[in-house]
Amino acid sequence: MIEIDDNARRAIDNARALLDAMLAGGWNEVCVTGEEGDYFLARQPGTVNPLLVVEAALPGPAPALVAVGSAQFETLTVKAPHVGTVVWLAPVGQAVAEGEVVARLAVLDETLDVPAAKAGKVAAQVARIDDLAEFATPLIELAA
Amino acid sequence: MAIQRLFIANRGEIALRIIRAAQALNMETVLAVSDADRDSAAARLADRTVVLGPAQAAKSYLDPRLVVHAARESGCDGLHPGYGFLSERAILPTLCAQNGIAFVGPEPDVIDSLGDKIQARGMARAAGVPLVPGCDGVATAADARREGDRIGYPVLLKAAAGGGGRGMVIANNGDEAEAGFHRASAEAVAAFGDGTLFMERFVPEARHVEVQLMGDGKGGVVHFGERDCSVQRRYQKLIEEAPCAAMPDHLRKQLHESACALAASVNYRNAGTCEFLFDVKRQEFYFIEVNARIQVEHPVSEMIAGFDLVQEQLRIAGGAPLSVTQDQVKLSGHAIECRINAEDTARDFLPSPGRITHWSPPQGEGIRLDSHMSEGAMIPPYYDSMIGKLIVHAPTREAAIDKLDAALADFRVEGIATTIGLHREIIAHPDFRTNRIHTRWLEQVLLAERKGAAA
Repeated sequence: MIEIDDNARRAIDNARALLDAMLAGGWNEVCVTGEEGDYFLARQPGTVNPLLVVEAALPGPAPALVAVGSAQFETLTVKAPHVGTVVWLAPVGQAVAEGEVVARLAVLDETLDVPAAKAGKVAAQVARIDDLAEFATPLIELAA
Repeated sequence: MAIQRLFIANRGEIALRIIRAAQALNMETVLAVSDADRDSAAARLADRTVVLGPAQAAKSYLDPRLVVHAARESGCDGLHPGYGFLSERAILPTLCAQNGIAFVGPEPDVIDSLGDKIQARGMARAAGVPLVPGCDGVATAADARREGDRIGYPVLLKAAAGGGGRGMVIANNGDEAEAGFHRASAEAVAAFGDGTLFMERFVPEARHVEVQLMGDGKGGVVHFGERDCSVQRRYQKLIEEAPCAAMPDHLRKQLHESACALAASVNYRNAGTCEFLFDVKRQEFYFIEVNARIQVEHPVSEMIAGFDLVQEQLRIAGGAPLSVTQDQVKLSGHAIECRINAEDTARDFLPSPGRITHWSPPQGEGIRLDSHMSEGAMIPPYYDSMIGKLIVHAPTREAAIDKLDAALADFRVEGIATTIGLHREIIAHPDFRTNRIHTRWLEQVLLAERKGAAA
C-alpha cells in the first residue's frame, strides 16, 4: 500500500476529471496547465506532447487554460521575435488589445515593437529591462 | 589591439573552423545561431551562443543589425563573418566600425568596389592584371549584339552585381546575345536588385584558377599559391586542388604577381582570393573577380603551405602585420578537397536533409576533414547542403588522387544521400587522372556519360 498525500490525491482527482471530460467530449487530445499541475492526455496513436516541446516562435504555444478559482483563462506567452535588448515591458494588470504593443526591443539604435497576438491582460513580466533577449525568450505573460 | 572575444556570424563547418582558430589564439568565442542551430557542433564548442532569430536565414544570419547588436551586447570586440551570408556585404563592417567591433575582413569601401564586378575589372586593369576581352556596360539588347559582334562569339553576359552563376548567359551569335540580354538582366534584377550587365569573351574549356592572398592593410601582401577549381556543376565548385598542375611555372609566377599587384593596389586587408580564367589553349589567364573573404576551399592552400589562414586573419584584424614574408611561404606537395554535400546525385542533386544514422569518416596521415557532422546529427533543410570537406595532401597529384580515393572509400555516411560516390567517379575518370578537365567538363562529360548509362 502506498501512502499518498493530499497534493498527490488532488492531482489524481484532477487527472481523472480530465480523463472523464476527454472521453465525454470526444477530444483526441487535451492539454491543461495550471497551479495544480500540468496535464497532457492523447488518444491512440498519440501525438507530440506540447509540455515537452520548447516553443520557438511568436506568438508562442497554443493558449493554455489556467484555472483561477472556478473561472478559466487562456494564458499566452509573448516571446522575442528576434534578438534585442529589452527596453520596455507593459505593466502588470494593463489590458491590451490584439496587436497592441506589449514590449519593445532595441536593436542597435532602433527600437522595435513587439505586439500582442491576442487581447488580454498583462499577467506577468517575464523578462527584465536591459536584458539581451534572444529569439523566443519569454517577455510577457498575458491572461486572455 | 588583439581581439579578446570573437563573435562568429556563421554556421556549419566554417563556424567550427573559426572557433577552433580563435581558441588556439586564446580568444573567447560567441557564436550566432538560428533557432535551427541551437544544438549544432559549433554551438557546443563555442563559449556562448546567441540565438538571433528563427531558422530562416533572412531573419537570422542575413540580418546585419541583429548580428552586430548581438555581437556588441555580448561584449565582443571582433567579428568573423565566415563565407556566404553577410561576409561580402559592406553594411556589416560599416556597422561593426560604428559599434567598436573589429571586422575580420576588408574595409567597407574595398568590399563594395571589389563586389561590383565592373569596378573590380577597372581596378584590375589599373593594376596591370590581364582581363578577358570584353566590355563593361551592356545597357540594352542592341548593345549586347553590337558588343558581341565586336568581341567575337561565343560571349558571356554576366550580372555586374552577381555571383554563383545567376544572371549569366552564353550567347553564340547576335540573336542569342539579344535574347540573352533580356534573360540575364531579368535574372540579375531578381537575384541582386540590379540588372546591370557586362560582357566577356567566352572561353570554352577554360580552367578556373585562383590565387590565395593575405594582406594586412599596412602595405603587406603575400600569396599562398594557386588553386585549380575546374570541377564545377552549375558554377558551383565540387573539387579543388592546389597547385594547378596544368599551369607552367612561368605562367604561375605571372599569375601570382598579378594577384598580389591587385591586392597591393587597394592596400588589401584580410584573406582574399583573386580568381582567373585559364585558357589552356592560348596559355593565357584573365581576371574574373576578387572574393574578399575566406573561401570554402582555403584548406587546400593551408595543406600545401602548412599555414593557418584563419588564425592569420584573426591576428591581422586585431591590428597585427603579416606574420610571414613571401620568402617564408613554402609550398610543397599536392592537396585536393572534395565538398561532400547532402544531395542525391541520382535525382538531379536534390538536397537530402535529415538525420545522419551512421558517420564514419576516414582518418590517416595527410587526411583532413572539416565538418560539423557526427552520428545522430540533423541536417536542417534551411541552409546549403554541404556537410563537410575532405582534404588530402600527398607529395604528388597522382599520390593525392590515390589517397583521396582510399579516403572516400573509407567514408561511411548513412541516413542521407551524399555526393561521396560521385566524387569517387570523378577522380577515377581518365580525364581527371590525366588532368584534361575544364569548368564544364563535369556537366558535359561525366554527368552526360552517367545520364547515357542510366538511359
